[in-house]
Amino acid sequence: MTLTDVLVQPARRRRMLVQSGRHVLLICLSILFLLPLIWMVASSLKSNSAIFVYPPRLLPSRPQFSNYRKAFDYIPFWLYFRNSLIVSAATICGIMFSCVPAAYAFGILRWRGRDLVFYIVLAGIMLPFQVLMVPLYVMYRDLHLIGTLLPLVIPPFFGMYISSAFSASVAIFLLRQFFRALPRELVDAARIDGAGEWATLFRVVLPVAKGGLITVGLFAFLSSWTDFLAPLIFLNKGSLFTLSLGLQQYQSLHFTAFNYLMAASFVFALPVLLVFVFAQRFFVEGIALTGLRG
Amino acid sequence: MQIAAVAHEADVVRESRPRRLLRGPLPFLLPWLVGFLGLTVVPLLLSLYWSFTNYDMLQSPQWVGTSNYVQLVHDPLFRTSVENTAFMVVIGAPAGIILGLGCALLLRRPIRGSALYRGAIFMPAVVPSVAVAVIFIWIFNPDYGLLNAGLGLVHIRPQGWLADPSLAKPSLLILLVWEAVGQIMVLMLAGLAEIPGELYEAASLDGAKGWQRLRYITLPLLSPVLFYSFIVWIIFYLQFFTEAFVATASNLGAPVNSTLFYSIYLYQSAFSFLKMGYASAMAWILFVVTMIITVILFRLQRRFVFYRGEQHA
Repeated sequence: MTLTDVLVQPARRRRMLVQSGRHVLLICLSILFLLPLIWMVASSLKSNSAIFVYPPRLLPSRPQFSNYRKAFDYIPFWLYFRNSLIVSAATICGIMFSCVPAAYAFGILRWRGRDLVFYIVLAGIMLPFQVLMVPLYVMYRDLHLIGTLLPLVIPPFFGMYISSAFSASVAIFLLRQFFRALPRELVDAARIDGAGEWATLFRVVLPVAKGGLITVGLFAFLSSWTDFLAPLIFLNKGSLFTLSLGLQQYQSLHFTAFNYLMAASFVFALPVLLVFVFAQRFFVEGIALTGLRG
Repeated sequence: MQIAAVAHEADVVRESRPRRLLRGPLPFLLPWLVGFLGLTVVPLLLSLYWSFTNYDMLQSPQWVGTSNYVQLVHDPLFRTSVENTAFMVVIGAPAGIILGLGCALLLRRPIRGSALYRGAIFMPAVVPSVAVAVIFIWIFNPDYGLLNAGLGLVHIRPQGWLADPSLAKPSLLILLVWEAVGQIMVLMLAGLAEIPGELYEAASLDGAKGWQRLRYITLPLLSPVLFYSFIVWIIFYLQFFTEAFVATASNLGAPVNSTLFYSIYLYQSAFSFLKMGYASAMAWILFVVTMIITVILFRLQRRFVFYRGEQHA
């Protein structure tokens, strides 16, 4: 054994010890964070008798895949699914329609008062939906929009969308960040070539800022698919319910079919989980950029 | 670039004012502007006006001056809702941020399987709040839930959780923090990645220990991100609704008003009791308090937050 061996060995051993300690901690944390989701999936496969046993077992002895079919029949699941899809698609399209040009005006165009108006947009991020929900409900009622999906479908096209996690103001802010990160020469070159502002936006800026569009689209999807408060207030007919409202119907005062509820919750969460798995990069980028809730 | 600027100025000089507006930002802002005026400014003003009226949505509003605000001060339920909400803000925001920061510090240096660990901790963040709430209702179920079963293994008596007035709020906190930690962790990891490694090398040459590096390098340099997270999460806990509503849907605020949060009481006032004026007053108080807290935090930021490169500015 040389002198260096004696000196290096304990340091290496210590590093290995620290590293295994980190692994142990991280494995415990991962289990802690995944356990509720495992419990959801496991419960969704338990039979009606197996779900109410004490003490409960984590995994079902005989998985009941038929629970899913029964869960879909328990409530008008696919109708709610369709409503959720309509609302989400409208929110994505609406936010793109209203926020992309606005972000271009705030990020690329130069005009007097631009920064002042942009501060108003930023202040809008602070605005709680609770402040607007009462007057908006009355306005939509007077316009005879209550009783249709329109109170959730139309406003995003006018830059009006607020959920707890994401809003049109955040979309404008995010897109502006992406647009400003583009090399200035790119836009100037387009102008020298005589392209108008709209042509610059569509043919030069958008193709390069695709990452930003995808990020904003994902956030719009995620937040509108899972939104609860706005549907709760504006959709007062069972046939209009989105899935986030419909899930409540598995619960009643005296009895909750937890296995069906967990099955439906899983299918409800699945599109979002899949989007997350395949587009993790964009989520992480978006959260890092805005610091806002995902 | 200069040519373009000159050409652009020439255009501007030649055009009349309306045409210039049409060529300028207005067409780009139009959809947003219409929505901002019609669906934000007008409702805000309506709500401010209604906060000084009695309004049940059936008959037209009747002016009552500041009576709604006076009533609120004397309303015991209002006070309960403020206390419950304060509890969540004061405990929930720091808890989530400390845990999120802890996870980020654990995952900061390279480790095998870090993507898997990160994904697992972040996963709850993408589960819809409604689904989170129903999963936890089931986990917290006093008779057949996972949590009491787990506690039974270590011989702890089963608890009532959401059904127990003294545990309902902590139970909701568990659920909300479970949702939040992954998002905070991702943000903290992004912030940590910005800190230059040379600083740590210099510090260890000077003999700084682990916690000293954390105290004198990591935390100061991360303070902008920490500060920002505090604003975002304080506002979140002031306004959060879905989880509490779903968890107590059959009897809002139960047990014995221990989960009657500000947003829940606001919702009830408006849509259960049809006291639109009262609810509008509550909404405006929430709005003003949100703004005041934000301003205070920004003031504090000047004292506590360290920005790199500030000394050059």
